[in-house]
This record gives sequence, C-alpha cells and structure tokens, in this order.
Amino acid sequence: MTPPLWNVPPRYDLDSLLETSRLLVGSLDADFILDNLLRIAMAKVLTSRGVILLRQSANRFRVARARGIPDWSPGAELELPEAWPPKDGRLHLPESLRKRGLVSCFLLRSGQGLLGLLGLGPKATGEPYSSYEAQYIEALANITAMGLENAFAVNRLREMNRTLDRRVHELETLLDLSRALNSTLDREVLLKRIGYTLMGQLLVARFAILFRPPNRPTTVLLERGLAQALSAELIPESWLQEPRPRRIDPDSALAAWGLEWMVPIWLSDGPRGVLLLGSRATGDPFEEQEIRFLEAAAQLAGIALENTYLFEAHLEKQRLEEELHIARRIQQGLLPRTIPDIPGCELAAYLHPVRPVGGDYYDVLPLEGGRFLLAVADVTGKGVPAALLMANLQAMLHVLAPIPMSLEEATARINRIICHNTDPGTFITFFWGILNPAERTLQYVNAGHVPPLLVRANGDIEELTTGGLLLGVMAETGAYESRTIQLRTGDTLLLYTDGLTETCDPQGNCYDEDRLRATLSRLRHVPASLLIEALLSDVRAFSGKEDFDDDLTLLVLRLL
Amino acid sequence: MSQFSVSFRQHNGVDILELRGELDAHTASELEAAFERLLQEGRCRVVINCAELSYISSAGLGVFMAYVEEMRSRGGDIKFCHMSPKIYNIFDLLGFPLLYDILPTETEAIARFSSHAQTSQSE
Repeated sequence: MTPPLWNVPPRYDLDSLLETSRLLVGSLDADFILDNLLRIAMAKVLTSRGVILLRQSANRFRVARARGIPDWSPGAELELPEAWPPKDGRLHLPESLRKRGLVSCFLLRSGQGLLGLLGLGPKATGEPYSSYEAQYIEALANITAMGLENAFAVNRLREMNRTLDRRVHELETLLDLSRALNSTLDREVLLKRIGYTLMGQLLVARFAILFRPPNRPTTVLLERGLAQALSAELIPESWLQEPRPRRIDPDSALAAWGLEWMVPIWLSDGPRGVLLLGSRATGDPFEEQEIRFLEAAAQLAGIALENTYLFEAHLEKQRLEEELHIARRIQQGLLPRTIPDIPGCELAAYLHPVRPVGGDYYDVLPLEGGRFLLAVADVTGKGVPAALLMANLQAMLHVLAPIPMSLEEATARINRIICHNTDPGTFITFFWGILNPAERTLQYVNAGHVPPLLVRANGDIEELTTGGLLLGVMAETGAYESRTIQLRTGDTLLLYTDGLTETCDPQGNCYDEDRLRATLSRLRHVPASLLIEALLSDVRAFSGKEDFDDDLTLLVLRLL
Repeated sequence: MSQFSVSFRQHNGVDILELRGELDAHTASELEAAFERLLQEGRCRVVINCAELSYISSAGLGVFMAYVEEMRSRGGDIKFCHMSPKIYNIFDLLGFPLLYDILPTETEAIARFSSHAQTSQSE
C-alpha cells in the first residue's frame, strides 16, 4: 500500500530526531546508546515490546536489550536464517522474532557492516505503523548504528589498552622479582618474595615450590594455604620431566591439595622442580599470557634458589679449606722444626704432601746417652684420614721414646694400638732406628716399609729389611725383629717413602729402585742436603713435572 | 634502593597504616612486619591509607593477600583509601577491587567498619 502524501514526519519530529541522534552519536557509551535507542523507539510507536540484537558472528546474534519479551533476557543467543538479512532490500521479520510477538525490525548498519537489529512489537492501539513512524525509526536506527560502532571501537581500544597495561605490569613484576631475587642469597627471604609476588600478581592463596638442589633430593621449599602438608614423594618423577606448564588432572592425588596448575622449573642442566598453584581467589581461570608469566617467574625463582645452594656450597668449601690450612700448620708442627746436630754425622730431610695434609711422617728425636731416634712412616691413603693417623703415630713415638724399652717391644706396642684404633684396611709402613753416633751403629726395625738403602763408601748398596709386618694388620703379629748395623765414614743412608719410586714419566715408567740405586751411587759423595736437592731434580727431570703425584719423604744420613 | 615506610595511627579501634614510598618485593618485608605486629596485638581492623604511596608492585599486593584471610577470620578486614589513579589502576588490573573495599577517604573506610559492627550487633 502506497502511503498517502500527507503521511510525512512533522517538523517537530525531525527536530527531535536530530537532537536524539546528536545525543546518541556523541556518546561513546554503548550501554547508554542501547538503552536510549530501545526506549525512544518503543515510545515512538507506543509498543510494550522491543529487543536489540547484536551480531556476534555471521548469523549469530546476542540479545543486548529486551523489554516485554518473557523468554528473552540480555545475554541470550540465537541464530537467524543463513539468508538473513535478504539482499533484495526488502526486510522481512525473522520467524524467531515473529514468534515472540514482534512485528517489525530495523537494521543497525554501519560502515563496518551489520551490527545488529532492532525489533519492535505491535502498537498498543493495534494499528499498523504509519509510514512516517517506520521512516523515523529507520533513520534513528541508522544514525544510532554509527554511534554504536564508535562506542564499540572505543571499547575495543580500552580493552586493548588494559591488556597492554596488564602485560606491562607483568613485565614490571618480573623485573621487580628478578631485582629482589638478585639482591639476597638468604633462601627464606627469597621464598617470601616469590610467594608475595605470586599472591599479588595472580591472586592465588595456595601454592608450593618443589626443588631439587644440586646433589640433593627434591624437597618442598615453600608451601602456602594447602589443606595438608605436601611431601616431595607425592610428585611423580615424570612430572619433573614436563617441559611445559600443564593443568593438574582433577582426578590426581594432588587435586585433593587444591592444586590446579603445575609449572616446571628448568635450569640449564634440565628439570629441577615444579611450581604448583591453586585457583585464583576471584575464581577466574588463568589466561594463556598468565601461564607464560608463571613460566618466566618459575625460571627466575629456580635460578635464584640454585644460587643460594651454590653459595652455601662455596662457603662450605671455603670453611673446609680454612680448616685444612690450619690442619696443615698443625701437621707441620708435628714434624721436626730443626734437624739436630749429630756429632760425626750429617742429616737432612724433605717432606712434601700432595694435599694440604698427608700421611707421610719422619722424625729425629734425641735420646738419652747421646743417641738419636730416626723414623719414617707412610700411612695408607691420603689427605685428612691419613694425616689423623700420622698424628696418632707421632704422639705414640714421642711418648715411647723416653721410656726404656726395646725397639722391638715398642714396635709391637705401637702395632697393637694402631690395630685397635683403626678399621681393617688402614695400615702404616714404618721404619725406625736408634743411631748411636759414638759407636757408629744403627739398630733398626722395619715394619713393612720400603727398605732404606745404605750406600757404602765403595758404592756397595745394602737394603735394611729386618723387622716384621706393617703396622695395623694384626694386633698379635708375633715379635718384631731388630738388627744392628755398623756404619763407617762415607756411608750414606736413605730413608724414603714410595712416593719416590712411584713417580712416573709421561709414558708410565716409574722411577724404580734400579734407577734410584744408580743415582745414589753416583751421588754418594755429595753432602746430605745437596744429595736431597740433586735426587729431587733427577726425579723431576725424569717425570717431566715440577710436582709429585704422591706424598714424598726423604731422610738422608751421611757419616763424616 | 627503594624507599618505603609504614606509620601507625588508631581511630575508633581501627588501625590506620599510612604507606609511604615504593612498596615492592624488596620493601614488602616492612609491610609484613607491620601486619605481624598488628596480629600479635590482636588488632585486625585495618585501613591502608595510600595517599603517600607512589608505587606498588605485585609482591607488595601479595602481602595484603597473605594477611587478609587471617584478619577476616578474626572478624576484621583490610580496607583501602586515598588511592591515586595510578595506584588504583594497578589494583584494578589485577582484580583487587573484587576482593577488597577501596574507598575514597579514610573517614569512609573507618565508617565502613563501624557500620559492619552495628549490623553484626543487630543480627
């Protein structure tokens, strides 16, 4: 039906349309625009029903505003037919709107395309819409669509800004965390800072950190808000191998602790722990970006925690080194400070432990009657255990020396004490003798020690082998034997430990006894201290190294 | 090094904590100490005056998360006032306004406690 010519909007309607449009287009508040569009349109045609649908995707729509329609409330979604809106320009009412008592619909169209539609019910009077009413609402819908488009664009921008603000804040949080973690090596302080950061950034009240420190088992370093205490055994080893964060299976045992997410802590050498988290206090799930934040925070925490353990290990090592340094001074104090002058003799000694302390020992002690006790010993093993036993032996020697007792009996006593004091497998090879400078004799016992070499003035070499089993093997080993030898001018006696004959050249050949005998016989006229120098340089030349691989002791006696 | 301090005041049985400076992971321990002190003295109605707070990091916010449950379980709360837009923005970004009362002025924040008290008395 063609509308009659006089059925056009009156002047005041045009003014109000203009004013309303200004109001709506000028607002950037989508809610305000939607509320007013529906209210004004319904008032214009005097209807009690109206709806604004906003387009979600191709033909999916969401109810944005609805009045007077019982089963539609804002938020409801519906689909309109594929072919809607029709391209032919003739707008017919979709069936789903007609069913709900709506009689007319108007498109909300902007430059971006279709934004939605406005549906209206019948006039209260029951008359059809007049042509100018329809035109008025169509014009209102068109103008409002522009305003809506602007408001949506502003909303999108605001949302983007907020997302950006969040990202910036996440970065600031990571920066704050890394600064805070780098400024302390106190693990308790570190864990607190990590906890506060997690609570503040993600609003979580429940979380735990499991960490495997270097060379130690995995432990629970931090837990908060958990219903029951967590133990490291609850975490399957396979979890530690997970490279990426994952949601904890609601059926798994850990879900009972209220934990929902697992974030791995990986260091350069592989998996080292996990960060476990419960839900956010507001109930919102974690976003993808937040999971990435957690990954980064877990790494920072892992590195900082690792550093605290490395620092502790470093301190411990320093402490041990200091102790060893002191032990070395003590052990050096157990050796003779000066070699006593012995009439008619020349005596020189050398002792070199490869570690700060060692198991080699020598001694020269004056005895009554102008006699002297000479001793050399080698405790099995190296380092502190050997040094302790060496100190023990030194003490026994000094206690026994003034007591009138035969060398054999004293050796047997020392052996018994060593046997009782040590584990099987700990031995001492020991050589000692009493030098009588007036009579030029040496009475000795060799308890399993490498035989000292006596080089006679004419170059003949004798080995001093008489004695018995090395100390510490059997408490009742039978008697130790002693032997007395006569010394003469020009004789040289070398007491040594096997560090000498076990020094090897780069090919693995050792500085064996044949070589030693040859060297000694070549050097037999050299004064004692020079002989030691010459022997050491010969051994160094042989091995090609400045340092020795084993503890090494030399004691040289020359008869003048 | 960031500067931060907490000062205490009391008004009508409510403790007002004035935060000054930058509250971050480093200075969070000072706020922690303040809350520990309040708990020890059995005080659990707290208003945080943020007028002089120039910066707050997530770790700083975490301290409130750590103590609010305890305060609430004892019948108290932690409420905030005098937040600058910059500080409010950080609270808002992380969703704190859903969990905490944030009021424009200290008077309103304190009043919120007494109105609660009256409600609970009348119940």
